[in-house]
Amino acid sequence: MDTNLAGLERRILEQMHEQFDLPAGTAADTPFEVLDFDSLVLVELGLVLKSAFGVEVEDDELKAAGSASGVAALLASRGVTV
Amino acid sequence: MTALIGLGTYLPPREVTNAELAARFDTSDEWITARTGIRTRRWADPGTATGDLAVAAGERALKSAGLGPGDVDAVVLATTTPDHPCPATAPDVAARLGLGHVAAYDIAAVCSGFLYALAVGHGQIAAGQARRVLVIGAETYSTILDPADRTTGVIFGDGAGAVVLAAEPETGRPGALLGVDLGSDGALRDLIRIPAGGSRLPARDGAAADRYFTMQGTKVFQQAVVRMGDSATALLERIGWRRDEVDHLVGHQANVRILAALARYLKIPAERAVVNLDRVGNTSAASIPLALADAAAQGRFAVGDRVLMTAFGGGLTWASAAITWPDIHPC
Repeated sequence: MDTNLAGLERRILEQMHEQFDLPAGTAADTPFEVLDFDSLVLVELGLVLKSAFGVEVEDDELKAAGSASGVAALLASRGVTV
Repeated sequence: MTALIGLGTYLPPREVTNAELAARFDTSDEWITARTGIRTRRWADPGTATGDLAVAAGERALKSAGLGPGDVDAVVLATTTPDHPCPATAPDVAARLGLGHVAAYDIAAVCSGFLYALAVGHGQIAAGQARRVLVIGAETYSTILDPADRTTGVIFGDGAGAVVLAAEPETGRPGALLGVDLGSDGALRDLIRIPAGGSRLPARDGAAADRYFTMQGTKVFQQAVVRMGDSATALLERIGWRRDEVDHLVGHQANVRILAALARYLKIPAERAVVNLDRVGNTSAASIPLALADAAAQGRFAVGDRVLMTAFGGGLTWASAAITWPDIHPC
């Protein structure tokens, strides 16, 4: 995996741990469904990403991304670098 | 300059708990609390209208300010639930408070209403049209909620809060209104609305469901944090307050998760956010003054504390205002 993608994954996971009460063992590829993220959590995550990376991400895009890894790939595709 | 010299609030006596609503809407106390942070709210009894709550809060605000009925020059009432679609409720409130033939009008900015009304009342004073203005936020949302809609049915509560604004010659005195920021985005008018009963869809042409209040919760959540956050940030820059200098963040009490996300967005410590929606729900235009009174009653505010208020509502509309806390006894 390229270093930017790895870096983005790490930072996104950090933000998620800070904002939400994640179970032990949550990894970058743990699906949001497994974490029981409801629609409001995805909105909250979008706001966290906006503050952290300056990027606008809709909650339905986050749902489609499905995990921290998926979000990292989405942000990388938008030109976000860490 | 304008200063806040009195604060009064009124909540109707009937408490409606999550347990009662959970039975009605086939949900649970846990779901409601986790989703919104609300545990209980007040609903007016049948026959009690917004004007009744406004009069009670207005009376208390005047008492808090040490004023008599002849001392006020205007009444501005923010509400989405007026007593009637016509006329405005403010003239009746003014008459019932014995204020005489003062200027009296309603402000319609949904949950941003109180801060919009504060801005307008301040404007009348700054323009020399009034020396003292009674600004009220009052709602009976219980009268417009769809009995089949769980998403709005568990959120909204009834109540009223009022402040007295007065011309204040000295700058820097506690209680001064230091600045306001108002905004709107009509492109998103459909996110929060009551579709029927106006000229776009007359009541006679609308379906029964169109007469109720509706809200697109997820989109509203996102818009609320960003618009309040950006408005509050712009105001802080204008009045020269740093984020760490804000002693208290009084956000519109829509949802505890919105308040937490807002504090984070603004980089203001979460413990500085005032929260009382757990006990009153979302009271729309009454939300800000009820939150101020609750925090004051808990002894949170010291005279001179920097208080940043921000609200967001249908329209869309948003508003922020900043004061230093006055030396008053809220009633």
